[in-house]
Amino acid sequence: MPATVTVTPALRSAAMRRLPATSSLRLGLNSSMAQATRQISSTPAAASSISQIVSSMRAKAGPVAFNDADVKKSLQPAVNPYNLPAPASNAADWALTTIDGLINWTRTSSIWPMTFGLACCAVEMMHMAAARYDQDRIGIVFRASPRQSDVMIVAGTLTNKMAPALRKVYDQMPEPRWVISMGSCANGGGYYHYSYAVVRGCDRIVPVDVYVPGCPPTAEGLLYGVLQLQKKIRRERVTRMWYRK
Amino acid sequence: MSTWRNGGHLATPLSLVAVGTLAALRQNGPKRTLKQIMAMDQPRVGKHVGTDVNGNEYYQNDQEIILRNRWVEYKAWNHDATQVPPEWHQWLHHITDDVPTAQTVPTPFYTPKHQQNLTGSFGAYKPYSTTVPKYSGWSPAVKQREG
Repeated sequence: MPATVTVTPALRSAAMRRLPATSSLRLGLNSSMAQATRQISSTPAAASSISQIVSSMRAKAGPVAFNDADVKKSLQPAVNPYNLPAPASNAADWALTTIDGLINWTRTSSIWPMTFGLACCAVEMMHMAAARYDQDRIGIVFRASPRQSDVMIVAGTLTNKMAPALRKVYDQMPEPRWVISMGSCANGGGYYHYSYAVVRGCDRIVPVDVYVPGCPPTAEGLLYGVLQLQKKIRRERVTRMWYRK
Repeated sequence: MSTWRNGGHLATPLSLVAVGTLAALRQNGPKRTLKQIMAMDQPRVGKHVGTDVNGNEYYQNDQEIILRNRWVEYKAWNHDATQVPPEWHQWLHHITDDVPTAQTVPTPFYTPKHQQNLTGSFGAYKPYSTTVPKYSGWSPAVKQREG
């Protein structure tokens, strides 16, 4: 087989159609190549065309070590963006999973939000703290200082004038920290999307974990968003990622 | 707020912590009582009204205060409020008093299957735009000083 093969668009699309939808998005380049090689065995009809593509990709990327161990490693998802549960491969992994569970339990059961009430959403945020929804029963205590809080609830329209203050407060929060964007205005500008004075979404200023839709969202909706954040915290792999490093 | 801890304004002896807990222990058993305390801070005694397709069980006790007299006990350990199907949601939230059956909630053939919130999984909804953006982002660049 020649080292380089010209890949026609028709050939490429025929190959891409056979690839699973997950390969292009969630796996790295290496793993998509590995996917391609794995596809060869299952679809002998397409074998020649896909192997041509793979060889051309190799030629383009320079010399690549392509032994079995590398292929096997690259078949594992390179990233796990949602921290979905993965099987523990060894004893250390198992132990660290348990420790992670403990850490995540402590974090989920004492969420102290920094209140960043900017507009009418803040009223609904207060309702979450009041007697009916009673955030205290799941360990949420509003903390007026960024130094002692770990979640920031951006409640309301973020104006250009307020944006530096928001970022400053976020920077003052200690790690680990999470951000809940509450309401249409904080999510993407909302009603004031085309205003010259408004930031089109607080995710332009700070990284956001949970977006709560609504104008304003109900206190129930915000509480559900907090529960979603709890789920996200519960999936985190603190010591496992440290061990992997 | 009346909870099982402070007793509250219920005239029935179930409102007393010890009596309520003992009644729950007797009727529900220790395992389910513990599960109830973990899930809803309160051991509860009630009439089993029905079970939905997901296996969640629905209970009612009209001796509780209004709007707290109907509750759900989830089957899954990682329960989520969206695991309640819509027909049971309306019963749970007092939209109707009818316990959902084929008669009270007709499901035409085009009724989609209820799905729980898939946020945080690979099944999560990913929006994308097919229109031309109405404005372009600003990419800051410094022009070289001349001379």
